[in-house]
Amino acid sequence: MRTKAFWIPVGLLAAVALAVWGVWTWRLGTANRDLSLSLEAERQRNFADIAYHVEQIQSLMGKGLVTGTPQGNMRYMSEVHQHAQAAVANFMELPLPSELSSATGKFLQQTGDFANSLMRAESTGREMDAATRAELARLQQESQNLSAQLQTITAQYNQGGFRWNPPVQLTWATLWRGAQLPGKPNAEPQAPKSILPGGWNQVGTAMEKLPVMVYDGPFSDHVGQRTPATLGPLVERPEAERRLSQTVPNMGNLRINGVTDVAGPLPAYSFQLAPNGTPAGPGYTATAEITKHGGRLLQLLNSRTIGNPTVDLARARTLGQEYLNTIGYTGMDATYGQAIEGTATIAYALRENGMLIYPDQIKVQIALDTGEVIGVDARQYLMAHHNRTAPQPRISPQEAEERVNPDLQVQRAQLTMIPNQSGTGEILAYEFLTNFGDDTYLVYINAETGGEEQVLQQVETDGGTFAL
Amino acid sequence: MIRRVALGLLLLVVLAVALPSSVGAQGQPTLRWGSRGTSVRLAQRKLQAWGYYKASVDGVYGRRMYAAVILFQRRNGLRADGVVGPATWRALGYTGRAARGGGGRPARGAARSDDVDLLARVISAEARGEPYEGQVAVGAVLLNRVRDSRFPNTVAGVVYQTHAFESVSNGSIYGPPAASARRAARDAMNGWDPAGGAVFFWNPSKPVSRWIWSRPIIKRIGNHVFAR
Repeated sequence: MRTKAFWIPVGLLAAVALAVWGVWTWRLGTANRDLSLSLEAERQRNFADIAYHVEQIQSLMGKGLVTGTPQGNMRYMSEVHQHAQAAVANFMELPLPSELSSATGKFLQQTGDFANSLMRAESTGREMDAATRAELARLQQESQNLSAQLQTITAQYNQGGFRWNPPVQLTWATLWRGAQLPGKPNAEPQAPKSILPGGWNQVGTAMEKLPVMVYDGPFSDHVGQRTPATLGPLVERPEAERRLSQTVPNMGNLRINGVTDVAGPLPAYSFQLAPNGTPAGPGYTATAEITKHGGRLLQLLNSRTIGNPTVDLARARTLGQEYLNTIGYTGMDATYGQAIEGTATIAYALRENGMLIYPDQIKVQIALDTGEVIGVDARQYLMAHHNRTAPQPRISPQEAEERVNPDLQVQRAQLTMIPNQSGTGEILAYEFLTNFGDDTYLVYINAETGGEEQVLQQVETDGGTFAL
Repeated sequence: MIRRVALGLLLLVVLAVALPSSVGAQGQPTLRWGSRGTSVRLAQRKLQAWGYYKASVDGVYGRRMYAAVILFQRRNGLRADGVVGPATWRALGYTGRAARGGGGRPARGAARSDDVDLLARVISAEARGEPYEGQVAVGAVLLNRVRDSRFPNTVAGVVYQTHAFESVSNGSIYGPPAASARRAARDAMNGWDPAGGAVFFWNPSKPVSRWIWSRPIIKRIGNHVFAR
């Protein structure tokens, strides 16, 4: 039988333990509340900022429509672009489920991108045409609608006491299932939607219904819809396998470990390759993709380990070019390249009729230990390549050079084809390699209109050259 | 608890050691009395802006430059030897590989290496144990998102988007990346895209929202499904 002398210390100990646990829980609860409040402030600021920026966008677009000069319009479009960028940054921070957010995010992105493309067009002397003006008016109307909906949501927040991140309450539900947060990725999709105020659903639905937007900018709707310009007939898998042995360097030492299908704009067979002599199993170290149409090498990726370099960048350039010739990509010229950690990555562009065609680009990776080609990326080439007629520039090289800023020293000029802003079209332009102080810039003058299309900075590093 | 703190400290030390070396301070040549060129000009401009160097920026390491460097080194706790080596360059704020013949602005090479680092962390946390192709594909998905109108416009914006990646939600992204992940990140930055333009990926053996299965699937690599 245990005595009082035993139970008193045990009871005291239990009381102390309970008190300590209680204080801990209380402290954790306080910290939890502080954290959730500071996060709440951040979320609410994001939301309030979006409402503000959208309001500004719709009013600035109205001014852009009303103003009588391209300069005035450019000024307002530049402000629209800024507000849209800020709205996007804030919007993407909100923990909304993708099914509600993606259309709205896209609308904000495209609004800014559209304003930017308008500004670019006007800066090269192209005035707004009737269709663009109508599109701008439509966008203004949509922004106005969105602005009104955001105000409705604000009202709903205030009435319903909505919180993005309510502090976790000690309830039975929390004990069993944990806290439910809006937009949490792995939760059931219904749960977060039901937590959000109803206004969000209306925004989501309205935004899904917006028409497709096509303009010259990277976020235009036609960018994702691109299809390859030209490709050959359908190739069966055995034929693709035969092409593999002709294109993959060192294929004699590799075995095919599996094949998967690749969907998307460039359907392909993806072959998984493992070195001979490695134990059988699903593991593989290299992948080669052969397009289903035309049977051309789309991509090669070999992750073999790389030894001490014995080949330099200049030699790698030649090796890459020779390799491209053997696999049927002829007439490619090295443009820029970099060597990092034993691997050289070199970009090649097609030279045709004396003109450098940047959209027809292939990148090659060369292991600098043996000079073996360990990577190829021909996606851009296969998407863009088509038969082009000989260029007929309307402006002579001399006339174009007169358009280059006189403070620059022109080193070299050549005729090039460059991608437009959205990357889906092409512009015939003179490329001027110029020096400005210690820096090197590439200036592109449109060979049809004489407008300055683009300025790139060429950066030389220890590893090689690249352009920005 | 103490163990966790110790672990955290260890991690901090590892990061502190790993970060500067990964950026690489060897970009600038060592300067001493008599050195000439754009690097000297770079250092002179910086020292002039901070009030150490009073003479003109002429690209020649002379007597007044020597005095300025000594003063700068003494005030910044460096060995006052008048030699602008890696430590002094770092103190001057040039940690990245500056462009050869570059002007006073930081080279973009450093910014790219920041992105590679962040990408490598996500790849390491999300695709550890996946085939190399799968690791590059995860990096490519992130970069495809940067270019997609439905997602933020910067690598950091995409990575830290609320609830976008499990590794950010559960903190595993803050561990040091595996070596293969760094290489995969660089390949993805150079444009290799085994995911074929995908902007979503998920592991079908884990619970995911039903909505995500409605996306057009491009390819399966290892344990991941990739979709547009």
